[in-house]
Amino acid sequence: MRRVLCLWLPQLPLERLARKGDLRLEGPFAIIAEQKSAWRVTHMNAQALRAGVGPGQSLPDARAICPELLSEPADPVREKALLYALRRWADTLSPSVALFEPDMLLLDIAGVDHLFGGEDAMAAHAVERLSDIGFSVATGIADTQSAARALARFAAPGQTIAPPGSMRAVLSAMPLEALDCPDARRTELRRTGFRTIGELAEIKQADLARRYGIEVVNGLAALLGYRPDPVAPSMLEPSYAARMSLPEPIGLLSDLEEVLRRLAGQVCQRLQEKGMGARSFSLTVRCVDTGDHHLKVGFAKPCNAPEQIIQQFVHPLDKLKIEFGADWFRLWAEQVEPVRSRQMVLDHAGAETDATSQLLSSLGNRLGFDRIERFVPHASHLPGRTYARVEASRHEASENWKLPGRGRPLHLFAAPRAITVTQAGRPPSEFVWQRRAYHSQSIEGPERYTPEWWQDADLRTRDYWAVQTEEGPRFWLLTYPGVKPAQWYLAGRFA
Amino acid sequence: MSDISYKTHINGMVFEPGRYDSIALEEGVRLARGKLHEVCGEGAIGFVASLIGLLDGPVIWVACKDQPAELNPEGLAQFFDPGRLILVKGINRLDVLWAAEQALRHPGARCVVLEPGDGPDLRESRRLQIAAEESGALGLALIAGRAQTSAAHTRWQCECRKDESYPAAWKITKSKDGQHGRWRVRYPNRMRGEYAPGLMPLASATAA
Repeated sequence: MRRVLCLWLPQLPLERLARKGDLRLEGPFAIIAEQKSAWRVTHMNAQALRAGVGPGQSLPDARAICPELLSEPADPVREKALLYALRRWADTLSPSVALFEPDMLLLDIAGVDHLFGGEDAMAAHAVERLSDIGFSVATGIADTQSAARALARFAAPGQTIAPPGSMRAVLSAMPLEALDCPDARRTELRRTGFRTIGELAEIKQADLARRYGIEVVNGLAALLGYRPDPVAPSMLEPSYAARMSLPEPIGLLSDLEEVLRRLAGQVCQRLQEKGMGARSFSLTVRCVDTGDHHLKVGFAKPCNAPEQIIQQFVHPLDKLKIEFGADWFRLWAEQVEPVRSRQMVLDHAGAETDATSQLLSSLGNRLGFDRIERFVPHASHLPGRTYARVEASRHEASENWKLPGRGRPLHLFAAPRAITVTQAGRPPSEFVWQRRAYHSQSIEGPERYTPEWWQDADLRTRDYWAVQTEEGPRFWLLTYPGVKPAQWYLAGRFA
Repeated sequence: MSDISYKTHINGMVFEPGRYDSIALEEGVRLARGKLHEVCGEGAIGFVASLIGLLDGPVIWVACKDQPAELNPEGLAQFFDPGRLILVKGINRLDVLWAAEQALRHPGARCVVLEPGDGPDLRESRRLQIAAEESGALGLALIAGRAQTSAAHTRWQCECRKDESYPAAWKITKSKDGQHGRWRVRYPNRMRGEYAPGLMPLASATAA
């Protein structure tokens, strides 16, 4: 038998601000959100309610009713974070806790309520604890989670606990809002004349399903306990972070490094236990006079070795100006990924890659990871397209390089350079490039390539000639056959 | 030179000259590891590529902005596996020198090529030299502009030749351990199973 405790925090957004000590809440105050293309009131405090402000009112209306009303847009991200924090607190009540956004916690309390002296004592305990930290809360205990939610929201005080197996009796007076189904269905039900769950439960389920759809029947069955509706506990995301606050501020680089060493040790131990590593670490240093400073380092591959983290932070820490010292530190891992460990002893190449990726991290943190690249092969027949340059830290080295059938230049100019032809020919027998004259001695070619029509805007056919000059350098000349007068370019140069 | 034995203490580590082996290009022609070497001339890139073909491990190629963009891995594949290349783009000369020093100091780099434009000066090259000694990596500075007085171990002048069989000419213009010589060079070609350049020594008078 499942038993579910629902904790509903109806004023969560307001209480979040109140806990921060927001003085605006002393007068009429409302939380607003953009709904149905207007700013509307979603939550208001007691003064605003007394002045006539109600949920769903548009902000101009509410201001007209209550001119001294102050408001604040809802902040769903922070509210969710607060609910998530409360979910961690709720671990003290039950091992299996689920979030029901935006403002409910669902606890599976089967077999734990006796630890608190029964269900009602447990609910009272939760209410007391939450009100101690500034939250108003409504509770509901029932066999299924939808029933518990319905009780928390709609039951009269003192009747919030449904005895096991009595869902239908307890819930029959509940309004249709207690039912989990799309709003359109609920409107249809209300138009038909249904007002309570009890009236709905008297209708044959098959008829309900045919007329209003399966969602209504499913919602009703879940509510009344005819079908299982368990709490699906959310996993706590493991947090790879550590912080340290000191009684006295410190400023020496060696002290900072010692703090970092301890923090990195904790974080890395947690990462190693899970077989994870992080691609970036952030360190917050709170100076006593200048506030928080955020330092960040990246890694070329997921890292969970404290000494590597310290090594990368040495430079940013060195640059940090600390005059009166810092007394609070927090290190946390971001972009956590699994680490594939390699056998170090037998796999010599693997050890080499580790050393290389450390070097990439050092260079990348200073220059930017986008500045460190490597070549990977690319399927194409066009010279200059047969390879791509990619970020080295994101791509492994490729081993699928094919040796080209013909000689290829070592330098391939990104854009072909125009040359001045002084003695025409095919290819020119004399040309000038960078104010030096070259005479062709022997030629090879042409190699003719048609462009990739699905890629290119430039659809000219290209002829490449390898030209050995009498002066020594060997060039790769390019021309576009069919273009009159013939234009010659330098596409690259050989070794 | 060999009878002068000295030890240098840097950062508490002891460096002994000759701690690392050298790369043999030909009988009697060697390039010491853990040193910085300068390469000038039109055929410099052929020299560098041939040397990389003799080494193994990753190669860090540090250059300003778009210079490495012009490298063609297809062409380099004749000399070595282009997957070994890691290209680092610095914004300016200082970035290039910094990155090269970091890379040289790091045990992960076996070979570091830098393109600083003008050659490194005495102070810059000494720093690079010390960094290379720490790890035993081979440092190669490709000098496109002016070479300066430097602490590099050797300097090579590499030219292109019109000869089909020996398309390059290499010359040592400076060497701290007294090597000298001129060679005509045939580039290696992995497609034909050649991994080392073919060197034909020349008497200085008939050098190309």
